[in-house]
Amino acid sequence: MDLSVPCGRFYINYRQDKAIIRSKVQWLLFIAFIILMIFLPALLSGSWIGLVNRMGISIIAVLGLAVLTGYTGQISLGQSAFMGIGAYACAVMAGKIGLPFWLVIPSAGLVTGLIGIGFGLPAVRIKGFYLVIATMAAHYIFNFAILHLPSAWTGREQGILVPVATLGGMTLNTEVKIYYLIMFCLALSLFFVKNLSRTRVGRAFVAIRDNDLAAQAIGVNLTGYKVMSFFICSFYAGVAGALWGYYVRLVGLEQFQVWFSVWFLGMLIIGGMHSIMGVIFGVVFLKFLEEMAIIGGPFLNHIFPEIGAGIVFSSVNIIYGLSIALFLIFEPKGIAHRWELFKAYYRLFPYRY
Amino acid sequence: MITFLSLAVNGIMLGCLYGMIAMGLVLIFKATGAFNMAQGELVMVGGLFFWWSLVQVGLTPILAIILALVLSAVLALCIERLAIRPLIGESPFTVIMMTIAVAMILRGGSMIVWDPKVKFVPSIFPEEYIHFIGDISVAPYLFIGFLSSIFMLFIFWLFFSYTKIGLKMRCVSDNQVGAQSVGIAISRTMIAAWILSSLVATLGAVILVSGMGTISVDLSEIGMFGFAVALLAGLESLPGALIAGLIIGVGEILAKFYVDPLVDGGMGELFPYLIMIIILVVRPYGLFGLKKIERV
Repeated sequence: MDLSVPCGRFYINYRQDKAIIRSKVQWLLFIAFIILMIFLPALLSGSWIGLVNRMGISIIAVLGLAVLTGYTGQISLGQSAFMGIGAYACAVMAGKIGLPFWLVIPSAGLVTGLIGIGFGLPAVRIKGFYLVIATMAAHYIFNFAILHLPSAWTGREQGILVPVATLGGMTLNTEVKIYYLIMFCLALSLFFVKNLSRTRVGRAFVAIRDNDLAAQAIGVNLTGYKVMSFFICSFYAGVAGALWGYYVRLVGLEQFQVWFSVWFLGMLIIGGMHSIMGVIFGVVFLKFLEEMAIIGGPFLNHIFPEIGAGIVFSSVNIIYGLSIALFLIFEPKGIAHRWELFKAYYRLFPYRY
Repeated sequence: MITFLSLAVNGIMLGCLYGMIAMGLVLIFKATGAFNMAQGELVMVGGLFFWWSLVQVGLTPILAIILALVLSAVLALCIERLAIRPLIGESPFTVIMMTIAVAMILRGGSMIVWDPKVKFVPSIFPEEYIHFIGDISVAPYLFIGFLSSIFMLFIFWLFFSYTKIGLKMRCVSDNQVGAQSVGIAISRTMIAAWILSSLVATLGAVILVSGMGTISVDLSEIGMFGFAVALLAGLESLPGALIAGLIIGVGEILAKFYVDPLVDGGMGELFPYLIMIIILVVRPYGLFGLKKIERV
């Protein structure tokens, strides 16, 4: 039984049945949400907008991972390295060549996507944990490459500056101004991924996830779709990396560690990897907890004085680890599943079913 | 020539230590069908247990090793009980993610329990280098690591071939449901595998830590080498893990000496992964793994 629509609503063609927004109330909520997002900077103070910005960038990166892991069933622990590639590509294209940001962001995605294909090719032959480690190796290769490419390109250990994004005469140099850029890219990404799942390509991905041999038997081109999935995943990482570059404006190697890839995967699991809502839930939930750890850092430091600055990193690790473990045991389908249950409960309210 | 030989011998012995860490991975994989991403953290925590009992508690080296082994066995028991046991019958992906979560908790936890600073460990092995024919010299800890990894391999071979629990573990790795239906208690074999794997990790850590003289949370990075070795070997074969360890160890040391000056450093760390990726593309099941034939 499909509980995602209110009762008494009947569709007379597939177009209506498959529409994303299906009722007047949904339209109303959707428009209200857009208006809320537009006026959010007026409601929140600067540091909270900063948190929203970082969440937005993470959501874009995790969306890519959702296509690869959630739809296609391939695990990747290289998302943070791909994001790094995007950030460095952005720094080089914006800083050295001087392209405008609306050209830099897609081309950073494209460059990262093409490099991602290189790592996707082994995926055609290997599966499961073999793939986990092979993609993890991307981090080591990325580190090596950044430290050994000409220092004019990568800045090596010092990092590299990214010029401020400018649109017309406006410079996007504050949290609020960059907020609109990030939200615009996020909206486009969400729209694209949501629609991807309803196309031939998306269905082919799901077929590969559910049983790759059966998918091949019914004529899905395994190699092509796996590589395409890696391309999309890395493209998103590249876009997220480019936005990150414009956001922090100093790209350094330490911003793209193997642990952050693990955290991205954790966000996907906690949110629920088979739905777009899950990605948003997961990122918002974990980023919020992370922010709490950062705010609570000085207090924790007071309790454990000898640990010093490492306290935030270690407590974030514990928080993430514990959340992933608890979700895997008690709610493997993630927050998105609970949300669906809640919605069904709300619709049927006085009755149980 | 003598430099080359000396490097190769050192590489072989370092490779045996990697092989030992990879053996822990292979053990858990064979017994539970899951890949333990927390192996590096088990090594790190084992090393910290050893440092704690040797320096903080002030035990003699032998007692410190025994205490470290006992503590790490208890830790493995807790991990298995609290994190892995609830997931019996779940997909391998879920179990991998759980071991990653365990790795994160262990890493964060050990930073809070023992602060993240680098700690000094007094050497428990003789200081002088051991000399072989000619001028080939080897650090004693590498030599001891070499001997003990061969010894462990022998013990494991006996264990899997002749003991009842070892045979049961092989059954479980072959087919969990099948093993359960002929009356093998999966939970017991899983506990045994985790404890054994943690013991091997701690033993490797003791040798490594007292040889290098320092320990910090970053020791868990060695788990990454362990993964590369285990995948190169193919996850099913314990002797294979040792041989793959040799390949990676020799490769790393030679790359460090001959290639690093050409490319301005960093090749030694990258080399294991390059070998691993190339081998995986050519032979996806590793050098000694079983080739799985899948049918719809």
